[in-house]
Amino acid sequence: MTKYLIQHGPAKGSKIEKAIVDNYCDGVVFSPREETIESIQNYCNNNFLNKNNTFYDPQFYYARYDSSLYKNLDKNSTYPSEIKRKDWRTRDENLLKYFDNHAEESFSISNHLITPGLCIDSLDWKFDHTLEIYNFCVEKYKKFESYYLTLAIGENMFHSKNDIDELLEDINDEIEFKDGIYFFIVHENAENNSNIKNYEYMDEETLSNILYFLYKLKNMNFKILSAYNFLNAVLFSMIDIDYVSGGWFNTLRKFSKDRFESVDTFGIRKKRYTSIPLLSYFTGELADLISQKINISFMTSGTPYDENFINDYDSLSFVDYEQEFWISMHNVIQEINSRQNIELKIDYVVQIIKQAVLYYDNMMDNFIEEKEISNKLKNSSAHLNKWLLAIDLFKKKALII
Amino acid sequence: MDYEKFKQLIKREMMSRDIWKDTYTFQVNKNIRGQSKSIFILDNNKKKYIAKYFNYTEDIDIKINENDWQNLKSINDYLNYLDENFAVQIEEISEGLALKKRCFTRYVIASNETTNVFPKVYFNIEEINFDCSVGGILLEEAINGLTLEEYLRNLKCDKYIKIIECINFLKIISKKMCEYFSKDFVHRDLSPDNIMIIDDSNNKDYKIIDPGVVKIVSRNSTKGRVKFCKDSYSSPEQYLGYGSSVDFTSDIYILGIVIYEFITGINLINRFYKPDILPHNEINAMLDRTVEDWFYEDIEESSLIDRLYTIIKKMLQCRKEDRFKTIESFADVIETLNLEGDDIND
Repeated sequence: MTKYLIQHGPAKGSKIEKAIVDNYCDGVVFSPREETIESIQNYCNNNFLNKNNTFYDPQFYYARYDSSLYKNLDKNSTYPSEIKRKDWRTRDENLLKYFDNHAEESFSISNHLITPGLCIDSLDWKFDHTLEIYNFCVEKYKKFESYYLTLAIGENMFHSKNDIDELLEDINDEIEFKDGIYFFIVHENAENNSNIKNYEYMDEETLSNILYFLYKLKNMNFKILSAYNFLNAVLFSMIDIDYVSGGWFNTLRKFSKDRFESVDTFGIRKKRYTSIPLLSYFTGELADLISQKINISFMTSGTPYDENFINDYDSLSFVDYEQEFWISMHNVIQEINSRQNIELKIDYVVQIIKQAVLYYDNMMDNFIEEKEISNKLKNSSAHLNKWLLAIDLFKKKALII
Repeated sequence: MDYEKFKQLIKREMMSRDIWKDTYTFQVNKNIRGQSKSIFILDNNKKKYIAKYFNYTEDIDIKINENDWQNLKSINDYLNYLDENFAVQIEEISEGLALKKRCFTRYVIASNETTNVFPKVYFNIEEINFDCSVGGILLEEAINGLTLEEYLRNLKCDKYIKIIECINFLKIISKKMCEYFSKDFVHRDLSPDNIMIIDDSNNKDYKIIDPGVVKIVSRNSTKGRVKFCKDSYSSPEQYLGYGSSVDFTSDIYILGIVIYEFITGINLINRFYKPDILPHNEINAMLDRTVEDWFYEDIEESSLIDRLYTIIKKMLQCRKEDRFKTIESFADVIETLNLEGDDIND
């Protein structure tokens, strides 16, 4: 059964409280980059959060990037700025202090310890050190109920199944106490490398390898928390991982490398509705254009915001759409959770993807002449066929019959 | 900015820190340099302080009414408010504001942890709601003296003498850069008007003022960039707005522009400026041609001058990795620029 967690970010306002109190999110993954630990601790003194539904990602992986990106991270004076290979090899004193600090901070708000890990973009020392640090933390900080090994893995690593098998083998061999994995993909850039403007789009081979990787880890008896997700959380829920998380902004739903390099968009933010029937993050603008020809009530996800969305998408605020995203995710994950085994879950997800493709086909039939709209629809649905192909490949790789 | 309000704020903060004397007088600094608004404060011994306000939110083009501003006490409040009310990319604004605040904080730390590089900072507040904005304030010693810009404007002497003076300047500044980089600080806005000359009899010293606090600049209607500095004194990465990829090599590039101007009177970025192109590429293409010709105009070539020009060329490389690898290696090379043995008079 998959639970949904909120990925903490800037400008949290009352977003977390509302989502948890209204019962469509199950907890939070906090980030010390966005808020100091003191402020997070204060926030945790409320009745909707407790040490079981709170996680604390130390965001240690930023230590390999330029310090100008740290935000609040180095408010903690032991944060290992621009960490080098030798720091862990030589058991650098400051680094060990940082681990002590992190364990202490984590324990003040959580029963789970997410162990510090580096971004893994090839099979090298960063991967080795990440595993060793996990083992070290499990051994040293005994008071936690569970331990999560951070696996922040570059998208490119998933291009080859051989690399994945090697990763899996090493994890299996090196990690003695198989408890939890805090996993996310480090994307090359937020939108993807092709010309397709679609957050979910990914080639089927890569995506099938990601599913295969998580499925295999699960079979090794790891609990899995997959962080920074958009609608692809549906696919992870399909393989029954324990937690998926996503935040209120796009950067909290897709962790991408371009955040680290340049800030080059202060563009206009678009209001987007999370449509479960379309399995898409659909712009209000496009829905408005579609509604001029056909009734768009088929695309709603069963949330309290649906009526307003259909009548006038602009009447909903950005904050409303942020909540709508979580409610929609909650609804579809509940459906998947209600299927008893992985085969049934896969069947269900394939069925809703196929249905979404049909909805898109129908819309495109109605807008053949309007090139701009039909192109937007093509873009918006581009991931769906990739998902179907990826599921097929995944089943073959994982030998799910 | 409402300077009257700023005076009151500074007075209140000074009093709360027990550094307030009744004899202080305030002077508004109309001649604004750098990216902060400031007022001078004088005590009865004519000791001069300067209070600065670094407005983090000023270049975000969003109108918020005065009543709503009352409730926005921090960057976080500000971001929450934007999220609720405006169709803007909060994530990017959040990153930009965090970077601005960080630049401010690093400057304060670097000022306190280095000697004689920056003016002394007496106190600072990292995040404060002031005059319908969020920003940081600090009170620091005011440096008496000319800026390098003012000095160069009036410098009339033989080019060789200028080169000798420039080398002395480079030796002092490169050591100071070593010191502040070791504190994880990048100035980002080195320019002749941000370098003060302290001429104590025959010993010239320099202090660096006004750090570059990120500026968020829209280059067209749909895309924005973060910027730290003046275009005329910028590295390519800064000019293009890649704020987060700025490191010590960016300060080295700008220093290359400054010393070239020191010697020739030519600001290369202004000279090669054309709309919609990167002047730095043009400079790079001309380093062995006109840029070199201007440098050697009115002066005889010598081993020292050739070496200096080679260093300038290395400082002005477009690719960061082609500049100096470490600040220490840069300072070491500068130390090898010695008048003794120069063959100018051979």
